[in-house]
Amino acid sequence: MRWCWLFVSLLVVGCSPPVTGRTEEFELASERVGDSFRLFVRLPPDYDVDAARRFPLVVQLDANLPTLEEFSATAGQASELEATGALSSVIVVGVGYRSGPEAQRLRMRDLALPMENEVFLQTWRDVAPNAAAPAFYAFLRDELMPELTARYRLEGAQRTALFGHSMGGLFTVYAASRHQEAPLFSSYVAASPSLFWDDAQVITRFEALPELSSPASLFITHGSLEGPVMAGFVEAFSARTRASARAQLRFEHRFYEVGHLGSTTPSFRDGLLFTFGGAE
Amino acid sequence: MSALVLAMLLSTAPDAPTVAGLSETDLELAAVGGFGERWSVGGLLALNARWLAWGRQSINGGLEVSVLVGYQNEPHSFYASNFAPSRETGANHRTEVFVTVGHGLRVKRLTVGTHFFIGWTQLTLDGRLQNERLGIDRLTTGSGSELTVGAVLHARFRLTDRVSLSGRVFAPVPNLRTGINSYVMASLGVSVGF
Repeated sequence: MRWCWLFVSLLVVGCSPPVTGRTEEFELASERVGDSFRLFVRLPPDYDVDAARRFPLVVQLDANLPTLEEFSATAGQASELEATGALSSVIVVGVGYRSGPEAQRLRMRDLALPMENEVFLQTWRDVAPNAAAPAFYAFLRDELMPELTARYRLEGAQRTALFGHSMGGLFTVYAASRHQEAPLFSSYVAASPSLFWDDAQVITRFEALPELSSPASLFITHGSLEGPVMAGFVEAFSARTRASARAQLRFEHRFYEVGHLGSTTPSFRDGLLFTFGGAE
Repeated sequence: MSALVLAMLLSTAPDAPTVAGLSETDLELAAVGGFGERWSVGGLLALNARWLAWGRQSINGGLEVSVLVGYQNEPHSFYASNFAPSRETGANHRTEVFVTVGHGLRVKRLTVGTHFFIGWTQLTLDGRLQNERLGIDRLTTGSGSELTVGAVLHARFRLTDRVSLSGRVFAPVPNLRTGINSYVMASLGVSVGF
């Protein structure tokens, strides 16, 4: 079965660049969610060279989702970009689950926003019966980030990015809409976000965000072969965000000639450059 | 019903070829269904040729070549309910030109061909998203094309001297990055010899 997933992953993301540096995994129990998460960590090759140096952080959602394997893809992209000098050294932490099949089920609990629209709820009630993105956000804020700060030499929230695709992209935009509370992240990279969720309530939520008190960047993408729902909502969100002209928000929208599954690799590659581009 | 099919299967094919050479050509028209990132329906037109290579009247094998032109429509309405109360309308349009080459084994009236295929697929998107609450009404267009290769299983059953029932299952090597191709397609139609 594992080889089958690897084959399918190859078809989707192609051959990801090899991951350089040091990798490790650990489990973290969450009281906020009432479950445990598997964390995948990639430390850059120069992490152990200077014990006083701190590093920027990329938090990658859906780390071990079958077919996409987003932690490996992003860590590989970061490795390649660092080697060419296009990117300064970054730590990549993937938030995943104990197994791939479990990831497919539990991501709908953690990344989906609670549904309010009755029509939408009727269709998605069975797919996401326990949609609880706020609890997952609380896990990131109260449990994951303190754990990572204790374990690794991080630069802090002003140099921390959240990356997500599809439902992970939806959660990323949701996290951006909470930027004012106590910023966990300074950058948000949302690839093909499922903005349609719950009659696009997250768009309304983001629009209600007042002028930011700290700088943030938002990089949002879609695939031109995804169809009208993904493209339409991302384009509408992009137009509205540009129109709001928040001084503290650096915003960019790009699209690629790919389908829904194919948008991860180019989005996260360009997202790394958009967020932390330029070697030191 | 099954006894009738079995009886037809085991009966001798009318005018089955017995000599080598360009033994058969036929024109085929079929309905097609596809499953990929979305469901699709459409049709194909194929020109088929078969050269007898070995065997005798009751069982033989030959080289088979087909040239196919296909169209599939992917109506967004198939999935629109997933996004309600937003409305998704329009369709994707997929056109294909394939050449298939392989071996066909004939037993009595039944011929089963195992082929490889190569060709070109063009996908054109034409859709619309409407969301009343946010006042969104956006048209979306796009297109992409790519080389397509894969395997085909082609079964034909001779109903009469000239007319056969024909079915194919296509298994393209999928490119999940683009979603331009279906993951699997199946066709069912009629071919007429000439």
